[in-house]
Amino acid sequence: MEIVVCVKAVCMNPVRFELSEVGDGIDCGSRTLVMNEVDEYALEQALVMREELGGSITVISVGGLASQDALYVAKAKGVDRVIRAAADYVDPVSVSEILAKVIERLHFDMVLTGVESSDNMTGQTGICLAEKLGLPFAYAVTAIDATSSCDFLTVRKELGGGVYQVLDIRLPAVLCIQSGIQPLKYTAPARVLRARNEPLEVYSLQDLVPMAEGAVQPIRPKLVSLFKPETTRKAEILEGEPSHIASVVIEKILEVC
Amino acid sequence: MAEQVLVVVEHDGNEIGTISRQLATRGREQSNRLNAQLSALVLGHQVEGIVRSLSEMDFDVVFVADDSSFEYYNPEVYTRAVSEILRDIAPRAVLLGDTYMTREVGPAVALRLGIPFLGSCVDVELSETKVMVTQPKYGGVIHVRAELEPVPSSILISLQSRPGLPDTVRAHVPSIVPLKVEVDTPGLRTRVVDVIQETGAEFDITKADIVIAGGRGLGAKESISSLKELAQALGGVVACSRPVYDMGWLPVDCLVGMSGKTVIPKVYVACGISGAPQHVMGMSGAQCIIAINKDVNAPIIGLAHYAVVGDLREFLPTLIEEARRAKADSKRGG
Repeated sequence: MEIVVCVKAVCMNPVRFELSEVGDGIDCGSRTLVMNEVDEYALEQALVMREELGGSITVISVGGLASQDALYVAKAKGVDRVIRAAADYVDPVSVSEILAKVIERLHFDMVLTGVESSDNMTGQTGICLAEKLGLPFAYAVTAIDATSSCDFLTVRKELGGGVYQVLDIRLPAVLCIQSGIQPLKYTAPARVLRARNEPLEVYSLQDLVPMAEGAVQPIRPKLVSLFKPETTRKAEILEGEPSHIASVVIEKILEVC
Repeated sequence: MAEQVLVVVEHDGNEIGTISRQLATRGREQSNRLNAQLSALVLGHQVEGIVRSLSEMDFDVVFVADDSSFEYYNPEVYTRAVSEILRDIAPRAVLLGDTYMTREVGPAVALRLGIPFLGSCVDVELSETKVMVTQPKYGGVIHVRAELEPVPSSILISLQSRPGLPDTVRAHVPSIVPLKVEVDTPGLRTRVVDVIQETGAEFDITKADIVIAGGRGLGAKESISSLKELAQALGGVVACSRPVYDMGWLPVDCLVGMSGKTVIPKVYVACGISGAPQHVMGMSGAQCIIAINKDVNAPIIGLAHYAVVGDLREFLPTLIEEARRAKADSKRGG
């Protein structure tokens, strides 16, 4: 099974939030990037499938130099090939367009990615990618049965509210993986450090020719302001000794019940 | 046909989803701003009951695609059908609930129609000159306001649930418009095998008056036993947010939020839960919310009635002790 996993490098500890100068993204004030957690679940799933079925794993990320940190982690986890598409786009339509241009050059049976990024949170990139590649898709996948053949997969996915759907899906396909599909495995920092010395492919936008020749640019919204969410109420912060706070909490609970 | 703001209705064959009811209210605000009609689109098989309920709501038009191929939700079938229908109706704006179905079908439909899709919004404001939305980012810690100017010919916007929104009073009698949609089934690459409703819990968390829920801030699996002790002392049940379920510390029946249950208890104690939008949509209707969190800036604090800011694992034993004492006192008191 030839598996492609798309991962995003996201800010680990946002220190402040500012709009980027061109107004298309949010600057979180930190250069330390990590692999988006739910993409890491997708990667763990790929590793399990490679173990069971053989084949290879290619991990791709779209982003600047700092996003390579996510790829080194992938390398340290034992993937076969890592590729960075050097581009600053953050909107899902552009990112999926770039990912598609890279993936079109590869031989693959399936593409995995996480359901959403922890920063942007709209969860569109995976489905947009499937559309760009003209492939069938499934969102919020919680289990994959890939033992049967290379033509079809059976997946279990969430519909929300505790309802699940089981789908047969023809390969190649794009699966947006839900968190929890496999346990996340610890990666020793020493292995990540070693992975930094291993080869990593970088594609520039110019490499991905059709883009540079002027594909239709998506209509992107302009970000105009950032603010802390308006809250419907202001919590009363309980203060004092822990035993006093605890008695107030219990009192409040008993008042309502 | 007059210009439309169209709501895509989600249902389970028997009832209209809560989010779709909210969209009817929010859609009317927007259609009024644009002097447009408010329409509903429902897909399904033998959906007469749903159409009846929709005709009692405040829509101008209800578009009905009733076909056996829509009996079960299939992402591929729905993507094709919705794209085709929207291409014909050409609404000014399409409002959808931020659900798994929307997240699966919405981006594909928008790309096929060549129109933008603004996803997971908490607010929307449509006008003749621009589209303005508010979206949560970074786990809901920060919100961003985004504008599209000029207004595209059409647009898809998905909105997160906003509990407590009143149903609009019906001021219009909708016309029912049946749609004929052909789906080429032999060419499908996706087949629905089964639909499963997870059950089998020892208790139903949606029926409990007191819900003690734990999140990532619990730190270790061992803390689950503290949650259970607290729940037991208070006569409540334990629940959790996504990370706790993902780590296998509690079963799916305990999961609250978009993927799991929606609870409306008298008291919801959120222990180490940050308050990401996907969790909040499952518990924000609770009568009294008590948050215990080390981060005073966590979104859950903005939602809670009472907050304890501090180390959860240090505080829980004291709270359990106090709960037991209160219980013993109440027993003594008769």
